[in-house]
Amino acid sequence: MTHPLRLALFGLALLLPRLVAGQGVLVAPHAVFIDHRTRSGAFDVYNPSTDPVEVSVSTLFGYPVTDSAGQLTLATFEHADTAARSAAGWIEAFPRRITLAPNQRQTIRLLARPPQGLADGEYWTRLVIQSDGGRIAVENPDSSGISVGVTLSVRTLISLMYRKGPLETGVRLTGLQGDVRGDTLVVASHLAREGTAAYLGTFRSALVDDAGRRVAEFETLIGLYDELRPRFRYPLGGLAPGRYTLQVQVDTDRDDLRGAPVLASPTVRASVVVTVPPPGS
Amino acid sequence: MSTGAPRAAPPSRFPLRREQRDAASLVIEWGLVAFLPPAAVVPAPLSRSLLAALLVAVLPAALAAQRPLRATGVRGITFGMVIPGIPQPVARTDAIRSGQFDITGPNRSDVTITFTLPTMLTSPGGGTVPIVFGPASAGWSEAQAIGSQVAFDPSQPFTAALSNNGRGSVFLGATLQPAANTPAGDYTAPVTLTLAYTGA
Repeated sequence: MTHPLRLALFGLALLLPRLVAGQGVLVAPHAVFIDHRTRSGAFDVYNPSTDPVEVSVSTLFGYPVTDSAGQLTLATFEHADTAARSAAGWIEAFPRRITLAPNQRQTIRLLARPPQGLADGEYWTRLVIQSDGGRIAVENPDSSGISVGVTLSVRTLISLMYRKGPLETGVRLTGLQGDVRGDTLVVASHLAREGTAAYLGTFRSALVDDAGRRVAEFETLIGLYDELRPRFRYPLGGLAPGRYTLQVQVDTDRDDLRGAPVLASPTVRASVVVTVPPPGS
Repeated sequence: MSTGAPRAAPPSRFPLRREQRDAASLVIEWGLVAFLPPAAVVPAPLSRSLLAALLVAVLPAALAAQRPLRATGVRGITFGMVIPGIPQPVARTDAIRSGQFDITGPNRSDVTITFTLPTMLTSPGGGTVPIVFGPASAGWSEAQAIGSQVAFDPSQPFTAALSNNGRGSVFLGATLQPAANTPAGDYTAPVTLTLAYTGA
């Protein structure tokens, strides 16, 4: 190899982004269901990196809510009086802490120890999978003798549902509104859970023109534990000005949870008229 | 601030093609070992390739939507030469020096991203270097492109919508503010990224 070529490759290596090893493990599935009869469950963690990763598992009570802007976010609760549905205190993971070798997969077993006399119903917790990886962005000491860097930890939160007895779920959709702001469709509504279990579903929106053609379709996966007041925002690229019908359907068909015991519920539908204004108006 | 970046439903004209592509991507990401018993052995590269091809061919479309959750640190924030007394800003739009974290999860799902950020880097000798994250120091890109970001405040929870193939990237910038009398040393601090799935 010629000297200039070596220099060029060396320079290129310096310019390439530094790959950060060891942060983040794959976690699957992203929702765990445990039945009272078996009181056990499992999920997998996998370290696809070339460095070992320390993984720890804990629980935290929380569920999705909407914030003041209508965005989905996760609310967490620490006090028992707000956590009557919490299973966080009696779900145990084995092992709780492990070091995953590169390309190692580990099944984490979950064991439930519910209190005596637990009433029928569904109880929830979030599983917190924390992976502590390598140090990143460490600079070689320069003339000042100062080097800087950060250590990165990644926490992945997935849901766990513990079910006892017969359960049912449903959703009530009210207050549907559609609004076009610039090139964005804003779909606002109020979703209230019915029944005794969380509603895991899909919120589907479609714009239909006067000829009955569906000119735009959108969908958002929802976990409805109490109530949500979402304001979903969807892009409307190049839609002609005019009047459209916004058709909304909420159902329990979940592609991402295929094979999981998702509780079925009748589909709920609603529609409103939406006007797409001319550009610049 | 959160924007809940929108996304359209996947095109339906060529569903099989999209499903196959997603299934292939899933196989590569999760690794074949994820679908095998822990003790399973794939002895030869040829066998592994054959198995991959078979899996891609037969995996049902639904599996593509079950992409595992993951946050990956692609690139750390790079401040370059640290000169005492001289602030070192790194913009989230800096393609070389900004931090980047790739997120994967179920297609078209929402995740809440929360950072726990330091205000100081510390050295074993007790020295400190302030680090500042501003209200627009972080950016979200569903397309995983540094040129198309939605800015957000990394000190606040941010709801991000994953793309039709379950992907997105967070870009992070910061400003290092070393004092003029900063002693030599090795300065570090922890950064925690919390990825919460809100679709279930």
